[in-house]
Amino acid sequence: MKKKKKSLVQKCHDRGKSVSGRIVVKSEEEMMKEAAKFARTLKGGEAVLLEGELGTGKTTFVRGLARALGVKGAVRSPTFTLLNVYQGKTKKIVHMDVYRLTGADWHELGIEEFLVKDDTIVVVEWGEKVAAFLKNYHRTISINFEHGIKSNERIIIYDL
Amino acid sequence: MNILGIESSCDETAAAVVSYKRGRFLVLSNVVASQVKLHAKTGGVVPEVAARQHAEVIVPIIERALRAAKIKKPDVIAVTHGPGLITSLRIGVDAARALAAAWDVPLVGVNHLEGHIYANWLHDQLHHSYHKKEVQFPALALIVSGGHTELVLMRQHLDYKIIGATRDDAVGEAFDKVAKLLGLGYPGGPLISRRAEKGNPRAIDFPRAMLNKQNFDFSFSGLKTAVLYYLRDLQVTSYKPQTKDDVCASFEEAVVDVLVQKTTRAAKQYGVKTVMIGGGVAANKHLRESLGEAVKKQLPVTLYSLPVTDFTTDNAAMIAAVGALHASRKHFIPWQKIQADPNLSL
Repeated sequence: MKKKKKSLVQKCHDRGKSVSGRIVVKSEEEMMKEAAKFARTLKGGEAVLLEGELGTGKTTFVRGLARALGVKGAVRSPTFTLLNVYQGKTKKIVHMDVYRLTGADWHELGIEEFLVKDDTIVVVEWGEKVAAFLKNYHRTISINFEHGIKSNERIIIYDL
Repeated sequence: MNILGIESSCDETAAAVVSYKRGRFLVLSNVVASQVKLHAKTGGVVPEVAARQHAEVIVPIIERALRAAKIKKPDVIAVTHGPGLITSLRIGVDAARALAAAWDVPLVGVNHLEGHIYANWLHDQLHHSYHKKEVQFPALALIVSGGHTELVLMRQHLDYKIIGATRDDAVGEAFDKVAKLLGLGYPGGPLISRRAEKGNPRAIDFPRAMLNKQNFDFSFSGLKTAVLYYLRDLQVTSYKPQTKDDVCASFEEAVVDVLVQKTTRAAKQYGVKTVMIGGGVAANKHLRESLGEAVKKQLPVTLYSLPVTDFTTDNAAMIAAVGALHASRKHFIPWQKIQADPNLSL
């Protein structure tokens, strides 16, 4: 009997194991769908660190994730304002982008109050810069993004 | 009525005094301390440095603004309470709160975006002889800056309806990111415009996103990626000056093309009497001229309003001006209650 195919993320989540995997998406819609699949594995209290060059689809991924969690309004790049907060159906999504930030002492940033709640999911673009800081607070998940060979392709690399 | 304006939502710490009489604004003082140079060194904002810097300079800046305006105490304090960088916003809000309590002066909260729109109403002593035509409603404002790209319809004072906005990156952000791809430095806007003047705007046909859509939304994320792929496909490690100039010119052309077309289309649909522009990218010469020409040609009876360039980038005079209108409508917030809100909407 053929079992229903589970997404890679779901499989990793079920096993509670550290596994990594690559997924190639060929359009904005596919990126959004993949993000939605990933969103369904989140319980709240996680920090998701998105890493990858300019134009690899990080903001699109966050939009897909937020939509899947019931966010209705605009999901835009928070490069200038540092963080956007969206209200989903049951969870709050804190969307950060630390592209413009360098060498910060994150404990002095004054953003902890946004980060430490169980009903919140923190998603950070250019997350490697804050990985060490966020590890004190959350279960962190890293996702890497790369350009594909063709201009419409993007590669998502999970490290779970 | 004299209004003290305080602004600290991003890179600039600013204070200004504006006098409001018979519906006219006169800028008595306008003091801005910018962290742009500081950030250019590190290539970005260091948030605690940003907040500390705001905290260090805000008191002397307020003092200078009051002294230059020759007043001891204003009638109203207006402060930007969002949107912006939370840690930076708080410095301005806390200073305003403390002064309002100490002086027993009423306090109003201003949205940073309203400020950019009202920069169009500002005159200062330097430009006193410059006779500016009055903005007439309904009016359409294109706000373009590092953090914003919005088309706002105004039927009367302080009445805003966002009819279009970016779905992803703001215009100024696209300028900064393309400048980074070309290795030009920070902030990207002025550096790209300078090179664009020497380049060929038709050298590369970069995408004009959302132009065929009937709505007034924008998207600049794909354009940034198109520049990235164009540069990658050249397969070289360093770019010739001519290549840089052409990329800058063609990129700027694509941005301006979309902004001008969407703005004029919206102006026609809503039958506005004034088209205005505001925000840091409103200092872009090509955008100022192209939009002006398009309005003149396609909407000959519509007034085209541009802020004085000093008032396009972040400043507190524009915050004080909006504050005057809020104060005359008694939109006061008790100092105990005012809060910085990084996601404040218009």
